[in-house]
Amino acid sequence: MSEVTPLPRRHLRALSEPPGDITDLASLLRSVARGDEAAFEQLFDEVGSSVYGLVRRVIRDPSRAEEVTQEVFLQVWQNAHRFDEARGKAKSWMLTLAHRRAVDAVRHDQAASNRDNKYDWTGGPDYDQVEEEVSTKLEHEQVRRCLSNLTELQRESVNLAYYKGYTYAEVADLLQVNPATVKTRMRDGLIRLRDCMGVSA
Amino acid sequence: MTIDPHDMVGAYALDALEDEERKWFQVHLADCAACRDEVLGFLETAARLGDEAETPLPPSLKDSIMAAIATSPQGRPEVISLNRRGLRRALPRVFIAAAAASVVILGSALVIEHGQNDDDDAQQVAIETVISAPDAEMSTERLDGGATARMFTSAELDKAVVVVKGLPDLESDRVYQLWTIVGDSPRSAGLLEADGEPISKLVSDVSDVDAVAITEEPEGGSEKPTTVPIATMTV
Repeated sequence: MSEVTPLPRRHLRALSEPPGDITDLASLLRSVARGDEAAFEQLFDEVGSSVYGLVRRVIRDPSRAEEVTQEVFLQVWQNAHRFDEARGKAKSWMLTLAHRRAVDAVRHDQAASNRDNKYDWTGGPDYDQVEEEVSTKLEHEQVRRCLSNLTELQRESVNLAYYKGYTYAEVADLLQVNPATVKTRMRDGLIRLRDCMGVSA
Repeated sequence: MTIDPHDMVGAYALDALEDEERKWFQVHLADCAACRDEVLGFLETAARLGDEAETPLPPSLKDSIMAAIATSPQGRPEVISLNRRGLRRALPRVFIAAAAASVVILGSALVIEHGQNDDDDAQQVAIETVISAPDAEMSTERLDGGATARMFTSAELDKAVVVVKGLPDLESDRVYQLWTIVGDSPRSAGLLEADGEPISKLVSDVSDVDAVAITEEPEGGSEKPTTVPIATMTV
């Protein structure tokens, strides 16, 4: 016996296009799903520096970041058929995969070496210090401006989790605040960022 | 331990939950339409944060990645022809009776996803995509002992996600197994090794599938169901 309840219908809303996101990425992914290596190469040329940049920001160690970036693109190659363009941006899909992979790697590596000794976080969030060159792209400036609009606790919570791969419980330890507070700040921070960036939700 | 799952949306989108909490939250997502909306917006927001980290590529990286994919097979859907007559003969009668109730025989081939250990992340993203699809329909079945099985089906994506929670523990040599049924032919969709944890399973190409069923099987699972299903949900 099963009751069927249609979920409330939501608008198929186009999440506002990140500036610079190329709509062709979705069709490139479709070609990649069919085994098209030339399309894959084009895709890599378009998003490689974003994926590598994110992985490297989280992982820090450049050679380890290269390894993980390679794993991410293998994953894209093997799972391109799972991407559905009606449900989100191609670039966001790949960055979501990249972030999870990078965070998994950092947590895995942490078991072998003590990250606290290796990385000095005590100077606070250094999301802008690891950059050799700060991007002047408009959309990147927007992200930095939106981050600067957060409260300090929101910003540190988001930075430590997203850019360094800490769990919220670890963030709470590092900042010496209640874990429940950290979770709330992460959510509040994301709401503020989302609205500031004009992501519709 | 009391946790308000709504508070976890932010940590979830930032990948800041422990693995166990993450699974737990995904089950909550199945119940919470507002959370699914928020997750979509947060994931897009997080991706913008990620894009900001863009960095020039090391020169050799592209070559090594192109070399890697050139020798790597793609995890494309695998099409398995079902020899319906042969399967029917092999099936336990009792299961045919349970599964064949009011089903119409549709396609003759069923497509299942490759199971790969290293694509768990992609699997999770795929599950979220189905659960939050605008045309997703949910059906719920309450099982004996307070367990529930929910199925989210998106016709547009041609995929379904089965979320099961509260299944009673089994003896150590028994497992739960998920089946997709085309006509009266069940095909394994994997084991549900939960250990008390809620679990989600992705089913592809559901337009060919008539029903999904769960049975109890010997350790390691069976080629064909050997017991009466504890749950059958029509697609």
